[in-house]
Amino acid sequence: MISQMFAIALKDLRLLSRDRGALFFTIVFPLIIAVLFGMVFGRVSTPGPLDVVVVVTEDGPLARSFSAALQADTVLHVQVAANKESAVEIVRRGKAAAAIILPDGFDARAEALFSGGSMPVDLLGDPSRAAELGLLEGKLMEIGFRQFILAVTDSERLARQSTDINRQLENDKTLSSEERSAITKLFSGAEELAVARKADDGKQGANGVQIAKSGGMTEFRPVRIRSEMLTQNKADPPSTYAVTFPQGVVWGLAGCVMAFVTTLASERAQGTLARLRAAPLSMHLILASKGMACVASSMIMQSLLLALAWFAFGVRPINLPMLILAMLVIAMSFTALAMMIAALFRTGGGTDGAARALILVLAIVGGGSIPLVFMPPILRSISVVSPFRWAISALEGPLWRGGSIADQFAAIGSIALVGLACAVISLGGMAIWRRGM
Amino acid sequence: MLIFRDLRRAFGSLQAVDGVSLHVDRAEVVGLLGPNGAGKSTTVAMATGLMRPDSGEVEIVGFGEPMRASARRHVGLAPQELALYEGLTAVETLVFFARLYGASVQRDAIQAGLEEVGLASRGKDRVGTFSGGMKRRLNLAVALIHKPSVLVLDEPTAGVDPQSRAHVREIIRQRAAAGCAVLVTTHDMEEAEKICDRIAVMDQGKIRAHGTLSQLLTAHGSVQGTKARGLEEVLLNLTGRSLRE
Repeated sequence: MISQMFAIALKDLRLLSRDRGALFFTIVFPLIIAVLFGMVFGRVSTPGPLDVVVVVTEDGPLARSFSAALQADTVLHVQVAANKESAVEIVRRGKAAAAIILPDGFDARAEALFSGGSMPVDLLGDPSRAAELGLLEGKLMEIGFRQFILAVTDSERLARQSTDINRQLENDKTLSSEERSAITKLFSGAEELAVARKADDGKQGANGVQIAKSGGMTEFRPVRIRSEMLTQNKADPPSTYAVTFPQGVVWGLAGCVMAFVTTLASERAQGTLARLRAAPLSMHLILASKGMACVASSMIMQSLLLALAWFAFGVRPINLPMLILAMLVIAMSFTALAMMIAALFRTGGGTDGAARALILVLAIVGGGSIPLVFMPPILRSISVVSPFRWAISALEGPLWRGGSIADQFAAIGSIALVGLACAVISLGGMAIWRRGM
Repeated sequence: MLIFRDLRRAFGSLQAVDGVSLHVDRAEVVGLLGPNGAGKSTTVAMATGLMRPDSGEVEIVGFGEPMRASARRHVGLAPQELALYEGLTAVETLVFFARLYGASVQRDAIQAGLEEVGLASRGKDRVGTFSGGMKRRLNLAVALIHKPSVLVLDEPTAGVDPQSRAHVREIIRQRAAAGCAVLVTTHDMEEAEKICDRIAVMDQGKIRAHGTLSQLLTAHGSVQGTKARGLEEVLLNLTGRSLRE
C-alpha cells in the first residue's frame, strides 16, 4: 500500500515538474511577487553597516571617547539611546543587532588599565544575529585596543596613572625595597617612552601619517565584554522581504492547491482517475496519495522561497524548528483545502473554475496582494475568513515577529483548525459521492 | 472466469442495465455489442468495480466481486478513453501502473510489455508525442502489464489505423490463447466477427441474444425470408433501425 501511495505521489510530482504552467504558478510567480513587492514596499536591502545602539550610563571622558570611536567606525551604524531600557527595546524590535552598554564605573575601570583594570562593556544581542554579534565583539576589542594605545600615548593620563601606582607601591608593605625600586624604575621608563612617543606623534601627525601599532598584545584584553541574549519581541519586520516572502508563499500555496485540484479534475476528464480506481486501490488511498504529492510540493515551494529569503535577502528565521513545523502544518492544511474544493465541485471544468475563483479571492483577502500590516482595519477584519491570513500569521511568528512560544503555537493551531475543518467537509463530500457510486 | 448474475443498475428513472446474466470463460473472447446507450459501458463499469450494481452480482471466479480491491488485482481494463498521462514516457507509464498492481517493474518486464504492443523503440518518448494508434496500443499495454486473468476492453480499436487495429486484435487473441478471459465491447462488426468466440447483443439494458456468430446468424439473421450476410444485419434485426440518442 505504501509503495502504491508513493507511486501515485511521485507520478503527480513528476507531472507537476514537467508542467511549465503549473511550475510557473507554484514557484516562479510567488518568487516574482516576493521580490517585486519587497522592492516596491521598501528600499532594496544591500549589505551595509551593522546596526547597533549605544548607551553611556555614566558620563565621563573615557566613556565618551569610546562611544565616539564606535560612532566613527564605518562598519557600524550607531544609534545613541538615552537609557538601557530604550536600547533593549530597539534590539527586541529587530531594529539593531545589539545594544552596547557602557555601564556605571566605565571611566574608573578604564583609568586602571595598567593596574589590572579593563573597560567594561555589556553587550545585549539579538540571538537571531549570532554571526553579526561575533563580528561585533571583535570590533569592540579592536576599539578597546585603540583606546588603550591612546591611554599609553597620553602623557597626562600616563603621568596620572604613574602617580597612582607610585602611591600604591609606597603603601604596599608586602614589597621589599629592591622590588619597589625595580618597579619604580620600570614605570619611569614607561613615562619616558610616553614623552618620546608624544613628540614622535607630533612630528608624524604633522605629515598626515596615522600610526596603528597594536601587535604583540594578544593576551591582553583591554575590554571585558559581558554578553547577554535578549528575547525577541519584533513588532516590526527587519526588512520588507520578511513581509513579502510569506506573501509569496501565499501565492505558491495557491499554485499548489490549484495544481492539485486541476490534476484531479483532468484525471476525471481524461479517464485516468477511472483507471486508478479500477486498480486495486481504495478511493481514499488514491486521494491520500495525491494529498501526499500536494503536501510535498507545498513543502518544496515553501522551503525554496524561505531559503532564498534567508540566503539572498537576509530574512533569517528567529525560530527555525517552529518555522518548519508551521510550514508542515500549512502544507497539510492547504492540501485539505484542495481536497475540500475537489470534493465539493465535481465536474472537471467546474472544479477548475471554482478552485481558481475561490483561491484567488481567499488569497487576495488573506494578504496575498496587500500585506496584513498595511491593510485597512475593515479589510483586516474580513481577512480572518481566509486560511491564507492564518498561514501568513503562522509563518511570520517564527520568521521575524517572535513573541512567546504559546503565541506561535496559537497561530499554527489556527491554520491547523482551518485544515481540520476542510478535511471534515471533504470527507463528508466523499461519503456523499461514494453513496452515488 | 467472469460471471454476471441478473445485474441491474438504474440512473434515476433510466434503467441502464436490466437483468444481465452472462459469463466469460477462461481462454474465451466474448463480444458485447449494441447501439449507443444500450448499457454496455455501465456493464463494463460494474465488471471492473468502478460502479456498484443496484442488484445482482459480478464475480471474478476465485477472487470475489470486483468492488474488492483484491479481486481487481486480477482484472485488466483498457477504457474507451485514452486514459494515459501525456507528461509521462511510455516506460514511466508502464512502471507506474505495474507498481499499482504490485507487478514486476524490472526492466525486462517493462520492455516486454512495450514489445508486445510494438512500442519498444519509443519507450523513452512522452505519451503526448504519440499518434492515436500508438496511444491506443499503450492503453492496451497498461491493461496487460500485470498479466490479468480477466481482460475488459472497451472499444479497444476505436479510431486507429488498420495496422494498429490488426495488431491489437492479434494481441487479444494471443492473450485469450494464453488462458485469459476477455470481454470486449465494440461497434466494429468485422472485429467482433474476427476475434470473438461468442457475442452478446445488448439493447435497452438487456441481453437480446447471445451465442457464436453462426448461432446468431442462424437464429436472428433472417428478415422476411432474406438471409443476413453478416453480424451488422443481425444487430439491426435485433435492435431496430431507429436512430439512438
